[in-house]
Amino acid sequence: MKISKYISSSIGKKQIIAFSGLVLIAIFILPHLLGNLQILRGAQAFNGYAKLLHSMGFVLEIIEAFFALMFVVHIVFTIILVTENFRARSIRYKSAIASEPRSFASRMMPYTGAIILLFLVVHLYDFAFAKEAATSCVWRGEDLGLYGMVMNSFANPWRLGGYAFIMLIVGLHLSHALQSALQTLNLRPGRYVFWFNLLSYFLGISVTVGFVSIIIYAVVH
Amino acid sequence: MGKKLALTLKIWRQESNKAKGKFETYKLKDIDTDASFVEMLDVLNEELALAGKQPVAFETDCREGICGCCGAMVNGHAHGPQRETTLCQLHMRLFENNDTIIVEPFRAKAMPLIKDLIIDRSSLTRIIAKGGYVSVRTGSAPDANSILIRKENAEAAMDAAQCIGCGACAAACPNAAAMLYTAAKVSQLALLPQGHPEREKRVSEMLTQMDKEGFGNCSNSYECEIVCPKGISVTNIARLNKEYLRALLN
Ligand code: FES
Repeated sequence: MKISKYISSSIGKKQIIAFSGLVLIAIFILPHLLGNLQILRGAQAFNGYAKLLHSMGFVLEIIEAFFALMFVVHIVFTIILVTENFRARSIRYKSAIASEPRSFASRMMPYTGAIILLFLVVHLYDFAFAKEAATSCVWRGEDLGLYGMVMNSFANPWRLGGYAFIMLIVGLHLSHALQSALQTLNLRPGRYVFWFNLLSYFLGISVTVGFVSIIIYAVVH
Repeated sequence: MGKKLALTLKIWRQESNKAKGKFETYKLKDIDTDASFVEMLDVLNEELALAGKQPVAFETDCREGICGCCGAMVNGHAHGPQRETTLCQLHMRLFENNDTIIVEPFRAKAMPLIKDLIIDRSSLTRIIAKGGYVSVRTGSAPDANSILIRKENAEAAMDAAQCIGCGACAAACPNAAAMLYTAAKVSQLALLPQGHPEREKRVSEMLTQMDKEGFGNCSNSYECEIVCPKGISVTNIARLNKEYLRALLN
């Protein structure tokens, strides 16, 4: 089979989405969560982590470019897939169609994905590009660098609520993502389906809980 | 004889593919709870015919759940609310007196409506025509145990072969994908030695046809598995995914 045929086929597209998604979970979301959780260990630990990232310089840039590529692939192929799927039922059902509760996260994937994308843009603008504007780093009269910036941004209740909401959405997205990607790449052998589904929910919940715990920390302090 | 039911039916009526359709309401009395769903429709049609009206067009053949002709959305469920049951094997005892039952045809662009509840499923046949068979000479029946097949594989192939091609999977899929159908047809052959010589060509061409027909892409909602009257599992879809990747790599 030619690679072009594979890429344009429904399974090819799915597998590309699944693969890029798995890569993003493994090398973006999980390390990002672990890094952010350093905040729970205080200003020094967190700023140390930020410094470590900056010290990587060129290497970090390559990694970031790879993230960007994976995101673009994931998003572009999803958009193609979703439009095709929409067209595949040009005449919709006129009566209410029963659907299984377990497929809720699946049916929401394009929407949760779109919300996450919007958040990503805002988030990049906030942290990665806006660098450390001196004033926003001052927390309780002390310049605490990136740590101060995070604490300041959570002082705004809108931001705080918004962030918590987005993390719920991310959790919902991931709870379907992992098991779905494994199914698509046939890495979910029949006999272990139950455990892989459980693992997928566990991933979704722990990512939400992990990120939200940072908010709780910020509120408490 | 069972109990008798009075029912309100809302059935999708549409003269042809191009015509505009709408739900028509019918009242039925004295429907035996031992009747099947399609027998209940027969009763309705008899009444309509006697009243000089057009009977509801619907498709059935075997009426014993093995041919895959029948099928419609009943109260939002493909083949009705009972699991692993075709419409013709759905019995009226499942319903209560004075129930309202909504009946709508299966909808997918690749399975266009012909009339009322009848749809054109030749797209599914065209997928089969692209490789859902074995074209090597198999000769006469081999001696027992001369070709060894693992018990698990034999069972899984038989399970996949149960597909009757009714199209409920595509009808219930939020993306109108015929993935469970194609997966079953590819699996039943991929699991057996007879299917191996044409393995890569089969999966590649059947999938191309599936895409060409305008079915959607599977997004692992697994609604298909719930409505499949033959209980075909989505592990077959994982197998199809693997077979396709295998065809790319070989
Ligand atoms: S009529 Fe043959 S399966 Fe229902």
